[in-house]
Amino acid sequence: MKMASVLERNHSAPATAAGSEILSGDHAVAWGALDAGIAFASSYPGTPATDIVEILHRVADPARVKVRWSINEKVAYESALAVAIGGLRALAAMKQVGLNVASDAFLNSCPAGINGGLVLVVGDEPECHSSQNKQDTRWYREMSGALLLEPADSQEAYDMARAAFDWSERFLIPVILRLTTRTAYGCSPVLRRKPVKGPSVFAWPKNPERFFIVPSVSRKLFKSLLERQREMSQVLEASAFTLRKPSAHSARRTSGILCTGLGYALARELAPPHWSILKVPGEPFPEAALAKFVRDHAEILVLEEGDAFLERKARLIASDTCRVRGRISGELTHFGELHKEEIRHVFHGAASDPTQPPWPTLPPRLPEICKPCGYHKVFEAIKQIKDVATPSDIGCNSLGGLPPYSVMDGVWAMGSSIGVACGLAAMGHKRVLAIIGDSTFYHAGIPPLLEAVQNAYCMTVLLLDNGTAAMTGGQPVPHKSNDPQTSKVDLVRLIHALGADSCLPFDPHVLGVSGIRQLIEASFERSGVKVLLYRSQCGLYSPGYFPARTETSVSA
Amino acid sequence: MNLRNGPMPGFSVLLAGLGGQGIMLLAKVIASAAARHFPYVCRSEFRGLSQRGGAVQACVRYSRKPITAIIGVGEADLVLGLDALESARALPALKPNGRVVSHDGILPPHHLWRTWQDTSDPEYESTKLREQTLAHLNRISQVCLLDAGSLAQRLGNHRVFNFIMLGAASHHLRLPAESLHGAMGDLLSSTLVALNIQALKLGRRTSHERRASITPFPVHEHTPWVRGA
Ligand code: SF4
Repeated sequence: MKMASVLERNHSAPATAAGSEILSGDHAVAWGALDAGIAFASSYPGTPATDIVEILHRVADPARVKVRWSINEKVAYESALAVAIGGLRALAAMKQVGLNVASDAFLNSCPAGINGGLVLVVGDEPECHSSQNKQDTRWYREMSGALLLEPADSQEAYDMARAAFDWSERFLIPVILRLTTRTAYGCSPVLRRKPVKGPSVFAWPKNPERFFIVPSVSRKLFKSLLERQREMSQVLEASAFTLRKPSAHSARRTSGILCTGLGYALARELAPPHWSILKVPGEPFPEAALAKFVRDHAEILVLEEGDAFLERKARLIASDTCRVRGRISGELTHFGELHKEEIRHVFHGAASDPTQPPWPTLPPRLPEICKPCGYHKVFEAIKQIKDVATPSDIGCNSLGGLPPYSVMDGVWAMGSSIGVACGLAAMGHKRVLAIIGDSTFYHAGIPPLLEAVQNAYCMTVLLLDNGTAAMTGGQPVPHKSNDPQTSKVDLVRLIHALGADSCLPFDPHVLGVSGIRQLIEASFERSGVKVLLYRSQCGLYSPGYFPARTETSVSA
Repeated sequence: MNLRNGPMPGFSVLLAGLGGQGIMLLAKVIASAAARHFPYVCRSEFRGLSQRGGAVQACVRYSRKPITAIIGVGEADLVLGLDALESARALPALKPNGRVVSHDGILPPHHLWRTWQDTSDPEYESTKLREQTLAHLNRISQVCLLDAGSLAQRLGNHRVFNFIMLGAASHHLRLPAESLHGAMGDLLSSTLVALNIQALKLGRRTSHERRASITPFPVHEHTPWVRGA
């Protein structure tokens, strides 16, 4: 029990504490930001970070906090950046691949920094549950020189969100809050503290010596950013988020766990008492502190979600006297989420699992297009078309790449369908069909469409307008925005203005499979950039569209 | 390890089913009830593509020591399944002496149904799949299968399906029934509480009547934990 009290010292408020609530990490971050007095929050939806701004939309007082769904992550970040440069507190949230889109603005904004606190919440997906890749945001922190914090549970997500704003203002730099799928969606008790007001005066500075980053300015700024790294690492180490638990056997300081984020929560749950623990709360963490921990042990186990980031550092420090165990050593899966079985195996050896009966192999349940959705007709039609190249895109329509249709040649990044179609057209492919949803088109499909028009490429763009960002839970798109102030976008006029040779709107339910097939076939006969505009509201997010759920379950 | 006199160290429930069945709500109710008795309560909220016919899992864990919201292989004390196929899929998570409480019907995966439509008789094939699935489940010694669909019909409302199943599992949660009622009162809109508590009680009674096949965990508030009573 003594060990528990050391571990609990800083966070992990018990659920029975009066006033605590069981919240997801996303939810805790939303509350943390509100209680830190933010004036602005923006995001482009993406699992597992969608809920943060979803919750802020629900609970924030619009008179005090402006909450926005942005066109894409870059604009989300830039809007928040402006608010923070003007001295107020702002939050931008996105998934890990969203940061790729925002990275240009993010990396270039760090040296000059901000005045009011700016927190960039990034949701990583080490296991690629709903992402194309597993990228680890800590590499972006290495490039940017920003501060990064990684919570172990929801209480820490709340506390870190609040501390992030203070540190952002202290070091005049954006702070990244790294969540991973399981810290974002895992729910544990959170005790909120008294909210603070946050800065209230927005003043846009006229300070080109700082913000106009021509090379001479950049060099100076970068020097100052490097100088701040040391102090940042010291503050981080001295904070309550850094935890050290000595081994229960003082004579046997041989085994240690180096961990961060969820890795710490798992160590707390699974580690035998004779393992000592160093919990690293984020980056930059002092090299010397890592080196001391490595030197003090004969073996260390590194527990971190995502890439072998700390493990690499530990390996660089470790000499022959310390064995570093983890992903690189092959004892934990090389990438992805941490698995309890593997961690137990390190602690207890092979004998921990009792023999189990052989588990049945069961038919999988694949994600499916909703029954009454117009996509069925579109993909059935494409299936009947021969010799067609189908670069496609992210969103609900990606499901057309799965059985029973399997009509998509590939998916790359947001907007890539049209960009890849440009290359195909340049190589003279005559039957190119780029498939893209409306939200994705606004996000990153407009520049490649301009490229196609500029080069007079021959291609057909099948733009699937379901009136929402359906895959992530039905967030608004510009031409269907709930706010009449911002719904002035007319998709058809936009396509014409971009210079497309034609734009043919159609209703899949009226046209039917053969009608859609003929429409696509006919488009290949014509030269230039042809946009076929599917218009059919997503049923899942427009109540009353679908027939009531019918139960087809088989029972005795 | 002698647990006979120590406090119950922790309890893990894995909920398995399909999108739209109300699994997340059940997880919230269990967690809220558990928070009345345990200092550390976690649950997960994984969703992914659940709207489009996918499988959904949620977990609730409660303990006297710090825990994570993650149930590893062989860690679940109880699998509560709202679809038999999904209960069977969750079996690797079950402890060697763990309990399974499951709806005895399945919704066959859509892609299979389509293949069956083309090649054979979907009704026949789905009945066969259901029987195979139930055979897997019946291999677990502590299993309780019941037709929650027809029980829900008895109450004239299919939507209470999930709370019937929670009722059926409530003997095994190691939580007093009153705490579940209290949590439902806190989390459900007031017009639905009475009906769902009725569903909970019906499920509880029905599984109680089949007690021969499964030994409930004793309910403990502050009493010691006796393993596998
Ligand atoms: S969520 Fe909407 S767009 Fe996606 S498959 Fe269902 S109905 Fe179609």
